[in-house]
Amino acid sequence: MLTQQHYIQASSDHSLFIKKSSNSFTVLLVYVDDIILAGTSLLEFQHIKSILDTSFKIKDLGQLKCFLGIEVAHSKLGISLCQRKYCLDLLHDSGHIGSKPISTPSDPSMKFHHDTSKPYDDISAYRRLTGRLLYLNNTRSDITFTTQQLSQFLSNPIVAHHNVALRVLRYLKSCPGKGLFFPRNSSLALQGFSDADWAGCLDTRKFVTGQCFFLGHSLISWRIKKQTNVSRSSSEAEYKALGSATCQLQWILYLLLDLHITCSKLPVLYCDNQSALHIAANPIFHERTKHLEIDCHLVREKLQDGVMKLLPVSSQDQIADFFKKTSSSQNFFSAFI
Amino acid sequence: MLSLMTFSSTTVPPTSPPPHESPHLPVSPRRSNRDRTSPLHLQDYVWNNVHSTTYPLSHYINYNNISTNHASFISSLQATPEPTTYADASKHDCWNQAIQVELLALEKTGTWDIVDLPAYVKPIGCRWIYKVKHNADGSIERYKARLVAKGYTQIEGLDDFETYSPVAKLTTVRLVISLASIHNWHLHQLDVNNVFLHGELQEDVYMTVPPGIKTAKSNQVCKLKKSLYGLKQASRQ
Repeated sequence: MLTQQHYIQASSDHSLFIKKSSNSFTVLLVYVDDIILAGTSLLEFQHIKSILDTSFKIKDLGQLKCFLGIEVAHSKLGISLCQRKYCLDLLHDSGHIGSKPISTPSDPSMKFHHDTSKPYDDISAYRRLTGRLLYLNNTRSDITFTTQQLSQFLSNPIVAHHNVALRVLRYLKSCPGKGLFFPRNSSLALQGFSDADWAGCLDTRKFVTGQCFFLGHSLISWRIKKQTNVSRSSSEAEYKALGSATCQLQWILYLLLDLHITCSKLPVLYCDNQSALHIAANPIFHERTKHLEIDCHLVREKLQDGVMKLLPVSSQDQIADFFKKTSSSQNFFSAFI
Repeated sequence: MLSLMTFSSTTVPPTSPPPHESPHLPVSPRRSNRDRTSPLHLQDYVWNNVHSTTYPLSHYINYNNISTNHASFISSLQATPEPTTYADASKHDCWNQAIQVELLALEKTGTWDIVDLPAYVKPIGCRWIYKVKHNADGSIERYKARLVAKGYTQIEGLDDFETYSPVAKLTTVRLVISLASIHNWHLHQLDVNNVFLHGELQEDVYMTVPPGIKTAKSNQVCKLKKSLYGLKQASRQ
């Protein structure tokens, strides 16, 4: 029905509809029954609203203020997203609204692993809490690492894991309104950071990879994932991380293409591991990298096509690292309020 | 002899009282020592039965310290109970009206056709859900009845083939909002009413006729054309 109104369904995300005409540009984003309209022309808004209203009976909620529990605030400097209410509800429901705030989401020396100490009794409560923390990840990248670690133990948590989850709640108490900030004066350059953590999972010796992407100064995508297979060296792991970051970068580029947005610069992917960069740059077949074929070809191909470029970054400036390390830092994120 | 006496006296455990030391203790009536367990289906609930708890909650809370506004809100919540069955609801006019309103809406969208039940088809059930909607001040906004299908009886592969719901990726949402911020776009938000009632059904789904509708023959069922709350396909649209 939208296609009759010259809306084109984006191939990169099927819930995204785009209309581009000579004087207006409108984007329509559907999330089951919630719709976001973004665009240049209010006239076109009126038009599409009336058409949707006749066939669906819609409620016009005006300017975007709250979407899926994410609060959206507009200002002259930019738009900010936060889940303050959700966060406070979470604290309230778990009975930790009166707990003492703490400045970091988890103890940096804490290592998560399975052991035989006392199991936590109420497994479903643990799962529920972790699930709610996961949803909070929509705007909170600071607790992403801890939630990723917590969700590794959904099947048989021990008391220590639950205590970590409670510590996250205490951390949330200290800053329930933290969120993302999208400044208005930002450029359109896409930057990605990719990193891997040496044998981050103590039980399986798999690496934990982290990646994040910025459009100008706005953080739009981040992810922490345990790799599916074991790596023998850190450069191998870094290279695999680079591979998955390349996939995500490519998808964001497709999305931008669908939105008719051209980046002001060539997208850059930063990686702090020199040897991983060398593997990507040199097509020299090497004994120790011969099993890396798929990832290897993927990154190399994108490099040669000129889709992106790889740049080294020093470990101090590595932003993806922050998702993996649980330390708190003052210099982290201009994107945060 | 003396040593034997002391030995025997130490072997007596100090805690065991001599028999008939206090004959004036109240004698309790004999009770069965069978293990008592509450019924299985109540295990998920905390039930405040007077006979089952020593300290029933109602002895320890009262409404004295609640502000008058809040007290009237709570009493209004308790004053209008929500019926669970059609038989309960059909006794009250307000619920009958709510049912008629919902049935009218369903007829307007052409949700079903009433057909004879084909052989070898087992229709899925349906039920009414009743809800009192309150205003912010506790007064009653409206009585709401909603017909839901018992989708849990559907068999995958037979009644439904695909249960996928179109959702935007959160990265897309963030990207669009950040672009809107950079380009100073307008951002508006819409909400679709009764979203589940707009999906067209491709499969043949038969549902028993909801209570409240009269049919000509007894063995007729509703053949659904649009999806209904509770169906497995409902979220697919």
